[in-house]
Amino acid sequence: MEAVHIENLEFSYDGETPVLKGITLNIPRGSYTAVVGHNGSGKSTLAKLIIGLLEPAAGKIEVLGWPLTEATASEIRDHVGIVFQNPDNQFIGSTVADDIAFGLENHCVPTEEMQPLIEENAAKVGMLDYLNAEPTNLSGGQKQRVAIAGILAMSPDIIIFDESTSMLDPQGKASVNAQIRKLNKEKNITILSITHDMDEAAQAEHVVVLEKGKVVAEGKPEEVFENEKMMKDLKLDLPFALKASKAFEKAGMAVRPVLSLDELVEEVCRLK
Amino acid sequence: MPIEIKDLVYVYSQGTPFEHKALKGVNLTIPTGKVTAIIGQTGSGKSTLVQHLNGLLRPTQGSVDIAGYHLDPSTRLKDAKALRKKVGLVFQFPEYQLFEETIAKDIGFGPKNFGYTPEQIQEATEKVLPLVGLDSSFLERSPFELSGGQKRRVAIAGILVQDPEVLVLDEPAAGLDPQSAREMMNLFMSLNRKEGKTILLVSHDMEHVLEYCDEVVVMKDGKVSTQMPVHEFFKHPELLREIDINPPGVVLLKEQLQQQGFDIPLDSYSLDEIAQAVKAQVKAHE
Repeated sequence: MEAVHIENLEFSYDGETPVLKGITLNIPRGSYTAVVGHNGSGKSTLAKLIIGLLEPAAGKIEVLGWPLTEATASEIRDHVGIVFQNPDNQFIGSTVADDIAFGLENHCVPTEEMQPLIEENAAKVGMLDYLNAEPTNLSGGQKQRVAIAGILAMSPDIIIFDESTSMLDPQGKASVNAQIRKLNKEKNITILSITHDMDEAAQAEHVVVLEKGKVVAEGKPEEVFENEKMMKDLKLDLPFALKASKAFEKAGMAVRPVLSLDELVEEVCRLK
Repeated sequence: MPIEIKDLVYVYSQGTPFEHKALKGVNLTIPTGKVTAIIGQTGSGKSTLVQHLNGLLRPTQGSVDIAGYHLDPSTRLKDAKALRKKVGLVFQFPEYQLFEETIAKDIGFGPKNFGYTPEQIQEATEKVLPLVGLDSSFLERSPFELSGGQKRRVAIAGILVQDPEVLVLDEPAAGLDPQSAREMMNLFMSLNRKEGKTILLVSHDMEHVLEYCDEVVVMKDGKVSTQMPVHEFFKHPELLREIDINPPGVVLLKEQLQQQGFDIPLDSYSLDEIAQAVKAQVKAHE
C-alpha cells in the first residue's frame, strides 16, 4: 500500500492562477522522499493539500489507502504530522513538556498516560533534559526537535518536513537531519521532506522535482541529479559530491558520478 | 577610516539575576570597502557585536569608532539617526518587519523619519528599486502579497534607500532557495564593487563566506578568536571544527585527498583546478 497516492491533482489559491497543474505521485510506505524545486514551484502547497489544510480544485489524494475528503481529513491528520519552516511559529506550549502535550490533550489522552509519552518522545529527539525549558531559552534546532517530539507522541505513519531546517544554523540543521534519517530507518516512518538542500535530498531514497506546479522528474537521487541538462535548465544546484565528480570527469579521469564525498575520494583513489 | 573596536564588553541586564556577559573584550579592525564575514556558533556574540555598530546597543566597556562616530559607555547619542543613516543594519528575516500598506510607504519610512521631502523620497525609492531587482510596478502593491524572497528585497531596499556607507547584514540569505540566495549575495557584491560600500555579513553559510567574502572574523564565547583573509582561513579547516562548523565541501574534499597522499594546490578552491592537479598524479588508464 502507498503512504500517499496522488492523481491529477490541481490547485489554485485564487481560482485563476493554477499553482498545481496535474500532479500524479506515489509515495511508498516507509520511504524517504525529498521534494525539491524553486520557491513558488508548488512544494508547500502540495504538503498542505496532503494533510487536508487546502482543498484540491481537481484530482484525488489517498493517504494510507483512505481517500482524503472533508469527512476523513481529521482522521487522516492523526496519522500524518507536519513540521513547518519557522521554529517560532509552531511552538505553542509555555514549556517543552507543554508543547509536546498539546497534541495529546487535543486527543483527550488521560493525564496519567501523558507524562510517560512526553518523556519517551522527548528522549527520542534528545530533549529529555529540557522538559521544563521555555522556548526563549531554546535554539531553533531544539525547537524543531520539540515539534518533532510532539508529532511522534501521536505515533504518526507519515511525517512531512516543509523546509524544516532552512532557518536553522549548521548544528541545528545537522541535528534535525540526523533525526529525520533515524525516524525513517528505525521507526519505519514515511518521510516526505520538502527541501532546498541538495546534499540532504541526495540522502533520500526518492527525489521528486517540482517546477511551476508540475512534476518534471522523479526517481532515485542518482537518476534525477544525473540529468544534468534538466538540472541546469531549472537552475537547480547539484549535490556537492556530484558537482565535484563531474569536475574530475571533465579533467579526463574515469570517475563515476557519486553522491557522497567518501565515495568520491574512493573513486579517485582507485585510479592511483 | 576603518571600523575600530577596542576592548568592547557588553553585559545584558546588568545587576539583575539575568545578567549575561555577551561580549568579553572584543578587539577588531574592520577594513572599509571590503566584505567581511562574521562567523561563530549561535550565542557566540555575533549579533550583540553588530548591534553596537549603529548605536542600538551602548558599550558596557570599551569603544567603537565607526563612520566618524566614537561610541563608548559615556556616549549619549544626540544624532543617532545620522549614525543609522550611515550604518544600515539588516536584521535576520527582515521581511517580518514590513508593516506599511504599500511597498512605496515601507521603503519610504526611513527617509521620511530622516526628514526627506516627498519628492526626495520618491527619487530615492526609484533609484533603489532596480538595485534589489524590483521595478516601479511594485510600489503601490501591499508588501504582504509578495513571496518571501521579494519581501526580503523590499526590506533591504528600505535600508539601502538611506544610502549607508556601511551595510551590516545578519544572515541575509537564510531561508531563501539557492537561486534567490545567490541573487541576494550578488546584489551585495555589486553594492560593494560598484558603490564601494563596506559590507559586514553575519553568516552560517560557509559556501557563501568562501565564495563572496574578503575577510573572516571568528567569534567564540564573546571574543574574536581569529581574523584572517578568507583564502588563508579555509586552509585551516581545524579552525572551523573548533567552533563546530562544517567546512565547505571543497575544503573537505581537499583535506580528504591530501590525507590520501595527493598533493593539492593550497591556494585553489576551484574544483576544476583541483581535478587537474589530481589527474597529474594518477596513472594514465587506457
